[in-house]
Amino acid sequence: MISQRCIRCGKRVEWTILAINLALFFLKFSFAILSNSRSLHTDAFQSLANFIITAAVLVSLKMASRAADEKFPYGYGKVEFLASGVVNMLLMVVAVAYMFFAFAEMMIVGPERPPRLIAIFAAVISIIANQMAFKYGRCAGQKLSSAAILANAQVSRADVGTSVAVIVAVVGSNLGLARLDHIVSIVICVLIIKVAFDGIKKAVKGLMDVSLRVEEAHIRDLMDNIDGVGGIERVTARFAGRSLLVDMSVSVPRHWPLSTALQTVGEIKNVLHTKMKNISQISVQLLPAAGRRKKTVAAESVQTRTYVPQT
Amino acid sequence: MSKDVSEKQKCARCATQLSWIGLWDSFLLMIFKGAVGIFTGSRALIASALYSFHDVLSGVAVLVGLKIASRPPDEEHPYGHGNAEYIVCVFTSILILGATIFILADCVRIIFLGEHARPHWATLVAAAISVLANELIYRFNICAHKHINSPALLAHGKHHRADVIASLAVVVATLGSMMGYLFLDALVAVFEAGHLIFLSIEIFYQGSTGLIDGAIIDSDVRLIRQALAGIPEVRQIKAVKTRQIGRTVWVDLYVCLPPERTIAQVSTISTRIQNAVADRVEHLGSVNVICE
Repeated sequence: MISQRCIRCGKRVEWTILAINLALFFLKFSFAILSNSRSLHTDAFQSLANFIITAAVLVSLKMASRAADEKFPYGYGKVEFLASGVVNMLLMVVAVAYMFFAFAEMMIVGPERPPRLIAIFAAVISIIANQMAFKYGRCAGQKLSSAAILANAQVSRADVGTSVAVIVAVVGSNLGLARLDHIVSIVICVLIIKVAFDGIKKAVKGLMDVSLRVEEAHIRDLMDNIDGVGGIERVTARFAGRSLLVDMSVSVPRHWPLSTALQTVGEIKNVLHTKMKNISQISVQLLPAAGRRKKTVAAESVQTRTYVPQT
Repeated sequence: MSKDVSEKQKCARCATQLSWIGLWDSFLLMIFKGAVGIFTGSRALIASALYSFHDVLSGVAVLVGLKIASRPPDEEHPYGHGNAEYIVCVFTSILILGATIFILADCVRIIFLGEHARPHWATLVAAAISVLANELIYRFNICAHKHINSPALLAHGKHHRADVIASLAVVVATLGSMMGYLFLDALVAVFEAGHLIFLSIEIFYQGSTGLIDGAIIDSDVRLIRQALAGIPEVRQIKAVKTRQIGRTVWVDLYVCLPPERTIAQVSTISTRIQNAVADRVEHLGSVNVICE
């Protein structure tokens, strides 16, 4: 059961991270100009990118909570997968671009005058703020099992890494390791790309309706205790954001009237809804217990239809 | 008569080859124009290269549709692979959008700072080649379209025509800046980037509507309801839920059937409903009849 406190928290978490990112962008950008630090400069732009990305996620959460309508009969839950995929995709593109620029600068421009140590101050504040944002976002994301909030928390975490790299780079280049600045930022970019790639993979799985073996097995187990269910021909489930949509076909005795079978269906739905809270829709198809025979009959009738015009 | 038939076959073969030729043409032009654009600093030519990238994208989406999305459902993907096509559309349209916004920002900077690149004859040559190649492909597409009446070919042809116009604009801009109007290059690039943003948002919208399980168009839903009206046992239609998975249409029908019928009879009625729907809707993936 999701507690009231977590639901309230989930509503606030995105706005808080949004505000943190915007504030960090202004802080880092001004300190980057003051200290003449290249790495802090790019770090600032990453915060700006995070701000834009978080705003997109906020829109997705608003849309995902809308009820199903004529145009989207299965609800808007999948907006969350889409937003998660797009967020990670953008993060990956940004990281690849940073890596390219850092590499080009290292090879073409070469080492310059080392940045002033004042840059470390902004980086430390960034680390503390982003770490707090990450913990906060992860807690809310896990409690509400929201892919969008979790993806967003990962963005904050990647930013912690970047800021650590900034400190290492600033100290290192002042100690005489001229190229450390660029090398470290390339390594961090690789880490960001990996995180983003995992996020994309997850979102694509949701969007492709990949088979949910754990959920399906759980549903089959629950069906064992229901009277009248002769067998389960098929169970498929798919996620639309946080809610689960279940399609199943069950076989019942062929001589049963529909009204009796519908009572069994009602019981199936009852059991599933009480045991699995995140199910939002269950579609049960009824098949006669010897379902196989009926199918061959249908095939024969199709054949005779094609033979008629020839005779 | 026989000559007519062979001509038609020739056109059909030509049409399948055309999608490949068009794809390669766009791909090579994209690299060529992009490289020349970066080398000469012509923003208009870089934007024109993005146009070709857009054409490559639509070609690749068609190929993905043919190769991956049309695979039947399997263990791992019980609802089929159709959404792969939409995912390709969404992700690549974002790539185009990102690159275009980058170009746009660069152009705005150039216009405000007045740091215009000197015109270069290589830009002129690259744009002229692009005009000729795309015009040729456009003519081929229209010819094949007239003979076998395929809307896809017409759409492809229009893509290449748009590319012709974009490249012509680059030619004009380069000639203009050679005569001293240096701002023309950035100005043309701004217009092209604006149009591209519009195009890629359109692709993104289509792809994401599919991924969020949007319903099929109203007239098709009405056809399904008509099919159900033709079956006397259907007492009430509770809901008709449809979604598109790639190019196939998946339908869930929530109907009330007479409660006194046996399950065996219900099953026959369901099959009849399924056949009735299959007669009216093209590209049907699956129909579920759910009694309530």
